[in-house]
Amino acid sequence: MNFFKRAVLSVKARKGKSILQIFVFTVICVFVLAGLSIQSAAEKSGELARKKLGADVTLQVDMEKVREQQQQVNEGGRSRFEAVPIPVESAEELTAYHEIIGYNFYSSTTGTASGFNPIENEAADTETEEPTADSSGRNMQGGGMAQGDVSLQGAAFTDSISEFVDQTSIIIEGEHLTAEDTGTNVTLIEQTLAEENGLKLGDTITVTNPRDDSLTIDLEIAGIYKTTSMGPEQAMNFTALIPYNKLYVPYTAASSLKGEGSENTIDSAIYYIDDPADMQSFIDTAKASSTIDFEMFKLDADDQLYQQMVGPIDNVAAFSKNIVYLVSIAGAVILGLIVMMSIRERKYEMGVLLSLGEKRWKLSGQFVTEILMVAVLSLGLATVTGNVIADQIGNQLLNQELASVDALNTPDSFRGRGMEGFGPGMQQMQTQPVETIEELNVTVTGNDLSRLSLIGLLIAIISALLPSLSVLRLQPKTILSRQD
Amino acid sequence: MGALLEFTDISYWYKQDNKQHDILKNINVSFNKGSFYTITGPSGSGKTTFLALASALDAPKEGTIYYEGKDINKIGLTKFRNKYVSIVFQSYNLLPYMTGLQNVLTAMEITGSKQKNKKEFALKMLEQVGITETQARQKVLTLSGGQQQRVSIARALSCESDLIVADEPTGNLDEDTAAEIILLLKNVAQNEGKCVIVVTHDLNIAKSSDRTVRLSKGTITVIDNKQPSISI
Repeated sequence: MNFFKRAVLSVKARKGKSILQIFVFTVICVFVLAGLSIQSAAEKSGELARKKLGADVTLQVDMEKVREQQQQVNEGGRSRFEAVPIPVESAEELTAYHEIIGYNFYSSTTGTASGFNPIENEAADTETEEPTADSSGRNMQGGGMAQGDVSLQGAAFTDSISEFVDQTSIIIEGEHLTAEDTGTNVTLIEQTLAEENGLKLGDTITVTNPRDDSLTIDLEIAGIYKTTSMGPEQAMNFTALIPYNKLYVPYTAASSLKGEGSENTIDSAIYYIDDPADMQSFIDTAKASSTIDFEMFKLDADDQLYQQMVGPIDNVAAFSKNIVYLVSIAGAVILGLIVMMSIRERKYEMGVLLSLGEKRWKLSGQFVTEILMVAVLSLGLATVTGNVIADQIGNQLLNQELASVDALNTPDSFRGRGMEGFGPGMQQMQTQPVETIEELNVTVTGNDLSRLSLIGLLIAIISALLPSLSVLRLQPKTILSRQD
Repeated sequence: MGALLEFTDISYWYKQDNKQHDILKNINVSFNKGSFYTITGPSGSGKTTFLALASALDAPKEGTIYYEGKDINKIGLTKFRNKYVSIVFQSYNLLPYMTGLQNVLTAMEITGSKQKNKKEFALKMLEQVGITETQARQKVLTLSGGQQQRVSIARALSCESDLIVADEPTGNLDEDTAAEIILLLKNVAQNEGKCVIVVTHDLNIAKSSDRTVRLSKGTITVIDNKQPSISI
């Protein structure tokens, strides 16, 4: 009768202890399986979220470095702000990178309406005088600095501008501007502005540089949009900042209105990346191989939305990873102790077998076989019950995490006041509202089961081998004489 | 005919509180096939140690034990226990979760029995020591002490080694059963040509053996019970 058969007989004969071992091992396996499944589900959800959300990287002037450079130039003199435009050529280089799924170039300026009237704010009409107008009709605000009364937002694609993405503004007539419109003088104007001035698609409006009236641009109306934006508070004082006075134009048109030195330049560029995981590699490649002067410009990564969305499940995944480690180690220790007690009780049996000339490794083999039989039964039970339990645990953990994230994101002043405290000011909150992942689809996969089997087998072997080593060092005579 | 087992200048001691306690001192004795030996002596005289050395459960501190002329240390103690000696214990030392038959089969498996039909052979051995097939298929804990000792002897026989050592095999048995067991061991020695060495306190058993090795204060006296006046 070899040690396999002995192991079978022994497990059958020690029903009580075998059932206890199966119970303990099953609990361990269920927790390990739950941990593994939650990890897999969290990874999967994170991946889906990444693909769904993407990320963006902004190429813009590094103001800190520019300030340092200007301070060096104006040493001892008064600091002055000087805008540094980005050459379009440099920005275009990065659009060819494989990580990029889209991009947009931005160039903004203000202008003075010629031949049409911008929308004025009511307060200005009734209470205050309109900011001083010079002889040429230019608005003079802020101590005489020419500001203009319309703002021009230049872009390569207007559909990816945030106001259109979040539907604060929507096109009601005509079409969005695209890269095909680059170099042309077309514009999207706001519905109110159009109605007040009797403008329609195909009409042309003229905008002048507020600081140089020889710079004029004629813009053909290619679309009319409607906005619900309140605009910034400064719009009360600056006509150009009133949302109705915003003209969307190709970035080339905005740049040309800025005057000499601004041709073929932009203020910033945004690159859209499919998978936030590729963001760093994109930045690294750009820094290593592009001609962009990173002493002047910088690439800013923005994966805040992704981080907000997957934050809770990432935490759950990290926690479940710890569960796997903790339960595996604690499980091996607990099982090891149970097996150790069992082996100590069986010293006599070992002495008998050794007196018959049984090899020591076969005795260890018997103990390992016994615990492996328990492990196989437990793995089977864990497989049957693991899915339901893992799903429950996973979503329970996620709910707790979401609750704590909610609490973290709610300003103290809102607490205990329900929704009454939410008003227009809410829009000024720094944290963007984002759809967090609120449910995990935890399913036990073949991969999870393979990993569980591997961990389970390791636990079984360690918990049987280590305790048996201490007893196997004894001599059969010692074992048997102590028994007698 | 050469001796089956030979003790040559065997000494054994243990140390306690830095003091050496001699158990056996320069023992020289040999054992032959076909004979029934008894080891006697007062408590603490080293009977069990003597048997542990003979069955390779322990090794001598000095001297050499030869089996068919080969040093058992060179054979290897585990291999020696596995191939050349069978042990019968006072407390039977059967595996409690097995039947008598399974105990015998386990021993045959471990010792690498060449028998083609192991189960049949095991049942035959059990029958030879007076265990029926029904009893053989019972868990050993349900058998009486005498029956368990018979199973233990059947287990020793099934290993087909030429040397059988028994440590007070009748110590836990009643007088009648003890007599039956001793007769059984004697028959094994005389009819099957095995060398049987039995440790006993019982002088009657000692007298019924072919030779008695009497241990006292670390030394031995060998008595030929067929010619009791002769001490070897």
